[in-house]
Amino acid sequence: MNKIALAIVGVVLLLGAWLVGSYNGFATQSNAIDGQWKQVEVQYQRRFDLIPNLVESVKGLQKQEQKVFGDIAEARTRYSGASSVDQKAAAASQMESALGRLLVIMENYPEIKSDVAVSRLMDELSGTENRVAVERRRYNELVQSYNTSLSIIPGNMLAGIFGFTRRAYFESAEGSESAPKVQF
Amino acid sequence: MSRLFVVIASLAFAVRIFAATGIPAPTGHINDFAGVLRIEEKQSIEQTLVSYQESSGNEIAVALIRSLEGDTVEEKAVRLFEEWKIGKKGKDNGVLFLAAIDDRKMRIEVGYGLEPYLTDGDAGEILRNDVTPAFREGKYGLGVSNALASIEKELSGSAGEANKPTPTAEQFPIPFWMMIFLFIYLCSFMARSKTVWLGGAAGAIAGVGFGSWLGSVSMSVVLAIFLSLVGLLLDAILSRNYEVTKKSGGKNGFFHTGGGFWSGGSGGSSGSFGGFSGGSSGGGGSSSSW
Repeated sequence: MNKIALAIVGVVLLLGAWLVGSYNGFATQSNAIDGQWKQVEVQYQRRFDLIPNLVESVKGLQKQEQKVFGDIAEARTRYSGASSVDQKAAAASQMESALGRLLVIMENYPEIKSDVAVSRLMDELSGTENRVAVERRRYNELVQSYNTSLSIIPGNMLAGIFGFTRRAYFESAEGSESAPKVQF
Repeated sequence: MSRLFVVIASLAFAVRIFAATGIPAPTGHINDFAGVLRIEEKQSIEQTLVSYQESSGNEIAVALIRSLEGDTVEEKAVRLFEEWKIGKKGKDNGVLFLAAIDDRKMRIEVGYGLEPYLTDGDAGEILRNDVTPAFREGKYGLGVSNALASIEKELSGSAGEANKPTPTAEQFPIPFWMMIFLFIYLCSFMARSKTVWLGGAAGAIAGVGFGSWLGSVSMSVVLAIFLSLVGLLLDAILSRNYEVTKKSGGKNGFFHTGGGFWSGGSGGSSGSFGGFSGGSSGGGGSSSSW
C-alpha cells in the first residue's frame, strides 16, 4: 500500500511538471512573438524618422514623380493613426510600396544619386527596408514554430485547454519592390 | 484547408532547415570559399583580424563565395550571420563582409551592437570607395584589406561599450534533469509492480489534481481521461518490458528498467578555429555591386 501511495505521488508530480512545462512552453513562445513584433515596430519607426531628410534631399524630382511623396505622407498619417496591429501592418505595407517606387525613380536621376549625402541616405533607407524584412521574417518564423506546436499532438489538445490560439503571419505587401522574401 | 496549410508550412520549414545546413562552417576570420586570394594575402588578413579582435573585442568575419545560388546578397548575409553568430553574445559586436565573386555582389552586414558606429551610410561609402575600384580590377585581396581598414577606423569609438542585450528564451522553472530522474524512477516503479491499472489510476488522479488547480471542471475531466490512458499504456509497456528483460537475464537494476526509452548523446563541434561567440545582426549594413 505504501508503495502504491508513493507511486501515485510520483506520477502526480511528474505529470504536473509535464503540464506546467507545456504551458510554459506555449507562454514563452507567445511572449517571444510579442517581443519580436516590437522589434518590427522599432524598424518601422526608424523608417519614418528617415523620411523628412529624404524628402528634403530629393526635391529635384520632376513634377509627375512628386506624387510618390504624397503617398508616403499619407501612409505615415495612417500609421500614426493606426490603433490595431493589423492597421499598423497595412499602413506599413503601403509605406513600403511607396518607398519601393521612390527607390526605382531615383535610379533615373544619376545626378541626384551621385550626391554623397543622398547616396548615404539611400543606404540608410535600403538598410532600413532590409531590417524590416529581417525582423519580419523572424517574426513569421516564431509564429510558425508556435503554430506548429499548437497543431501537433499533444499540443493541439493542451492548447485548447490552456486557451492558446494560433497567431497570424505577417503578409508582405503585394508587388512592393522591397517585399521580404518569406516563403510559405 | 488549415491542415493543408500546416502541411505546406512544415514543408517550407523543412526546406528552410535544409537550406540553412547548406551554409559551410567558418574556417577562420577569413573564409575564401571562392578561392580568389593568394595564400599570403589570406594569412595577413587573418592575422590583422585576430589581433584586431584581441585589442578591441569586435569580431569581423570575411566570406568570399562564388555564387549566391539565387538568394539576394542581403538574404545570404543575414543567414551567414545567423549561422556563424559573429560577435559576442549580448554585445552583438560583429561585422560580416560578404562578396559573391561571380554575381559581383557584396555586402557589409553589421551586428546590432555596432550599428551606431558603422552606420548603413558608412558601410555604403566603404563599399563604393574602398572596395569597388579594387574589385573591378580583380584585386580581391586589396579590396578586402581596404574594407577592413576602413571598418576598423569607423569602429574605433566602439570598443568595450557596444551593449545591446539579445532577447533570449526564458528557462522552464522545473530543471530538466529532475524531470528525467522522476520519470526514470516512476518507470522503474511501474515496471516492478505486477499490475497495469496503477499507471492509469495515477494518471487519472494527476488529471483531476491539475485540472482543479487550474480551476476548471471540464478541464479536470479531459485531463483525467487523457492522462489515465497515458499512464495505463506506459505501465503496460513497462511491466511487460520488465518481465522480458528479467527472463532474458538482462540488466534489471532499478535504474535500468526504464525500458530503453531514451538515449543520449549530442554531436560535438570540430575544427581548429574556435568559431565566433554568439552575436546576432538584424539586417543593418549596406549592399553594393561592382
